Amino acid sequence: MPHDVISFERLTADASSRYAKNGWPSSKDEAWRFTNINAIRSAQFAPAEASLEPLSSPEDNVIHFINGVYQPIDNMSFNDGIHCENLSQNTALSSALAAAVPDQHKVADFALAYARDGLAITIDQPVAKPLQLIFDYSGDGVSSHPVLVFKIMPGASLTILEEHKGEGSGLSAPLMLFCLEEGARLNHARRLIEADSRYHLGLNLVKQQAKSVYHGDMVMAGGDISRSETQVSLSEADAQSYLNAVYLGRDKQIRDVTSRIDHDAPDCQSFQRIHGVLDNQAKAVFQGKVKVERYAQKTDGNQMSRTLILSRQAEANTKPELEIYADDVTCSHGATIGELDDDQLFYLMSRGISQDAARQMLIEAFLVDVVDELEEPQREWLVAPIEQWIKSRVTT
Amino acid sequence: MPLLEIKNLHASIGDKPILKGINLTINPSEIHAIMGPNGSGKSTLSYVLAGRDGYEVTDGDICLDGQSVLEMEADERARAGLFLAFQYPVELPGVGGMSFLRGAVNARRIEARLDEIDQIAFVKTVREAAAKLGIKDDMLKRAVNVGFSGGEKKRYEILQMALLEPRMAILDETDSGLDVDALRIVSEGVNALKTDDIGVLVITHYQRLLDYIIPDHVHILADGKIVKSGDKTLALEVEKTGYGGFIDAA
Amino acid sequence: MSATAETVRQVEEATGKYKYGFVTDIEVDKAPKGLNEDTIRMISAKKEEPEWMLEWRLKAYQVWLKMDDPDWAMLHYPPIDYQDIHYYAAPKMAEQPKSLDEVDPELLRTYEKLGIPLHEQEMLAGVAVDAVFDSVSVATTFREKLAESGVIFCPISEAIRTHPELVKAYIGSVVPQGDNYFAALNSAVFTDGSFVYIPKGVRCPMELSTYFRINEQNTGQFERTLIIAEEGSYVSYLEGCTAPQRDENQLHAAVVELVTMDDAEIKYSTVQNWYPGDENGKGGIYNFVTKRGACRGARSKISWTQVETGSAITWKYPSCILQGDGSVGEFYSVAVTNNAQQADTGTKMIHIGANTTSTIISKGISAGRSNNTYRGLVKMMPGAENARNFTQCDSLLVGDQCGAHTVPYITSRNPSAKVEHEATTSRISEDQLFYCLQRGMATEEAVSLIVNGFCKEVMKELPMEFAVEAQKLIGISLEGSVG
Repeated sequence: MPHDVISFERLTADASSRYAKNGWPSSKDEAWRFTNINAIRSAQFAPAEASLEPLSSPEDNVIHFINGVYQPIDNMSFNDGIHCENLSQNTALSSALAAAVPDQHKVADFALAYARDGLAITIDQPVAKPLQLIFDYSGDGVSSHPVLVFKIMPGASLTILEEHKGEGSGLSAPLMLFCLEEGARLNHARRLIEADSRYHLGLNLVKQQAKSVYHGDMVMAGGDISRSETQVSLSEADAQSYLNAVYLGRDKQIRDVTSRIDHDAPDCQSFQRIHGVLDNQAKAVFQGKVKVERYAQKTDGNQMSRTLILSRQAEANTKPELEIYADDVTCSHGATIGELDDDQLFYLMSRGISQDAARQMLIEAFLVDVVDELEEPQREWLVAPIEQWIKSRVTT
Repeated sequence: MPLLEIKNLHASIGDKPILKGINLTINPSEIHAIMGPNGSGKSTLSYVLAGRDGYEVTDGDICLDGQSVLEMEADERARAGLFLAFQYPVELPGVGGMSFLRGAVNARRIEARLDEIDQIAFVKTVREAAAKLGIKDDMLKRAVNVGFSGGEKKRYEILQMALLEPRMAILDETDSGLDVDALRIVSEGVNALKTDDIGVLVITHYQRLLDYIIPDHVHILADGKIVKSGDKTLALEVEKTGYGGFIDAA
Repeated sequence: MSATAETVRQVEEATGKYKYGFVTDIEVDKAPKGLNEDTIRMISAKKEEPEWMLEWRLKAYQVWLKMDDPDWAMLHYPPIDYQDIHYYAAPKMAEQPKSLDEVDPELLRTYEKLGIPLHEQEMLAGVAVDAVFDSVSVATTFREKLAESGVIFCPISEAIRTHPELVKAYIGSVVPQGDNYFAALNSAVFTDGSFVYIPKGVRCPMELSTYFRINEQNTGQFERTLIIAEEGSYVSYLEGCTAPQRDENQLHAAVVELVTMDDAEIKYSTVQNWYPGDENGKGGIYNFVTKRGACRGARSKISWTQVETGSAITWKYPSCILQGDGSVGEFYSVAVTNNAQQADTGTKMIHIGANTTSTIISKGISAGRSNNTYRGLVKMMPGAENARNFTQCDSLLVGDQCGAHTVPYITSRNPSAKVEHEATTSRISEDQLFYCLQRGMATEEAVSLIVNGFCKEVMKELPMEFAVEAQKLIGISLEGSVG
């Protein structure tokens, strides 16, 4: 679909004025009713200034970001099929991003308002070796604004391993758009393992055309307040979307997994599985909306969220939502919140396993279940932070 | 007058022609069998006869008792005496068996300007008919077809046939999913219904059902047409040689 | 019971689609249009209320003035002009009738026509009725018989005068004046409704029911019901609602408060059949209702069952506050919308006490161009040790011009509490429809049968007499939706 031509400069300027006018979301905004970001709102953040020196020995298919700023493009090296340029130099993709950013989205506006430039990455054939996006953060009071737009051309495919890590008390606000053309496939594995002192407010936008497949899998383990929002629009027939997430919260952390899937075309399928574990005084929300438009007949929309609460002070919130205007659909959601299953625990203990070990085993099984079917290297890459989290829980 | 007359029947699903000119005449008290391999159009034929939406008759005619039924909706055909025992009876969650059966019986009685059936007498009638088919009382209390085994579903179809007293019964793959005992009970049920003027059309892939329900005529359906007709020996021939020879002939 | 052939006949018989759409021609006494403190003083004076009640109303009015119309539901309607409504309308009567013989025969005929004969000998045995006509209760049957077992069943306006200590102790204790916009409005202007008090250890000897009828044009009905079940008592209460067929929208904003003490149980059933408007969405009742029960006592139980087929707009969330340890909340709902109807309905289950359990079964059926939303909240508070909730929300779409939506909110703050929620959306399958047609049933009959099957889990919660009526209503409500 052709969009109005909007330069990156114009896009950020518009976002900047909207941000100046609307500011931060509050718990009065329905999308934020469970997630209190007062700590972020009251902190002062300065956008990252750093520019990144060329790496002495760049690896193939690895892009480094320091506080959201990427290494020089001519310092990057890619396999055939991956084409990368500055977003400011690709008005087709900056226009696509302008069209994709949801109206009145205060976090998107914040992310764009301070973005200096972004990456426009086009994939035009199947690429076997995963593309690694390594986001490293540091420093206090710094906000990071990486913006990436991917276009996966018809029949092309890619696997992305996206990692957010680092120290300090900054805020990361990554904004990404993935445009999947006909028959394209994207495996998108993400792990959020920033230090527990950081804040993360991410937004992923996915636009899918006919027969495309998006497979998004996330493990959210780090950050004091972490929110990941994904909006998928299935705009042509026979597209499939998978959104799987594991979130892990402890201490006074806040976890927020938000999704919205718009079925705008017939014969599309969406599947979501979200498992979370909350310890100490952690608080979490999973809110997921599936909207099926009138003409999106034969939609298959399925969502399952399960939360384990390990502590008396933790709080779990779930808001699965269906908005359906087509009749020939199969849509369902399920949600459970509770503690470990007594029967399972007893079964393991009756086999001689200690209670602690049994609990750990069951928690791990519950979490790994979400990513267990993935191919390598994604599976192992996502299981590692889960195991790490469980291990650190036992030792502390 | 023939009971059921199928004349040069052509039918399509969407744009795809499935039935390509079927001619078949069934007289009162006759049992006909239609045999054919998968994809020959057997189930389509049963749906077209019963008037299912989405199956378009593009040419030809279907007459029941000399009257064309093409303009009649599925329920009108049913009330006119056409009964289809489904290959895959569908589950109706929450719909109690007794109220379903009574609703179906009363629909006919209302059309015939008869009083609705007495509830207590009806329960008795159903129980008796069910007992003959080896259907337990407990099954009658459940929702229609919900949680029934394959065999139970088929018996339940025959029970409905007994209660609705059709003029023309079509049995679509009634033997599939049945073990030998169930097959015998179901067949006895069908044979018991054979009165002087009922017509029966048995649609089946395999010969074995015809050991129990003996047909007067056997027809081979291939690629939407009847390619050969004969007596019950034709079924045995198919059993021996398979459908290959007949399909080549088509 | 089946709603098959009989339903079809019922549909044919019904002249017009809504058979309760007639108007009773009767002389009325009504307040001038508009809402201000004088209107409230007038209502309070008409009801001969004590001063504290008037003050309570005025306080609610002040709260209401500062509030905004809620906009979070999936409902669309033009702003309501609260100054264009009569807040009080009552059939002219010399005095409060002491017995049925003194009630205007025209009124008695109206209730007969609605299928609710008020003469005790003609009534369904074992059902006592409070008949509320616009702003007043016109008759309450079987009062003496109930009084023998200590049960109080009377219009709330009367209870305010005769049992002020009970009313004062409980009114607003479950739904405070400022709870929400419509509750505040109701608290200011409520006119009549039922009051029920079941003493300790008494099992109410008969079903109690209130039949609400809106008759007068341009009036709103603001009824208020309060039911108190003392320790170890039990009552089953039913309400029915109808209104004439009119082109303009009429407002109904009720508040119902239930209180159960230790081991007490209230079973509250509603068959809501307010005029839904015509095929084009013209007219119909705006039904904004706050219903809430407090299970104050240990092991007490409140069960809401509702069959919602009427109203142009339904905004209604019968809820349970499960305070007592081991208390039980239930919500069984069937909501049918057709043509241009809109429903946003569901429940709230707030688990406070230990070992509290709640069950939510919601069946939404959308047809025509209607929209039907389930909105619910389940909350496990920190003290809700070993609490349990199970929720099942199923939506059925009939036709491709309607909408079915599910918006559950779930919060848990206790690890030993367990919440399970399931929701599905589907349509009547062509296979099911064809199967019934092949057995000779007409399409509408088949749809009615399948839909009633879909609702079975809820319908079986209704008292028998009402279940049959409700089944028919569902069939009638869906008339013309498949064709």
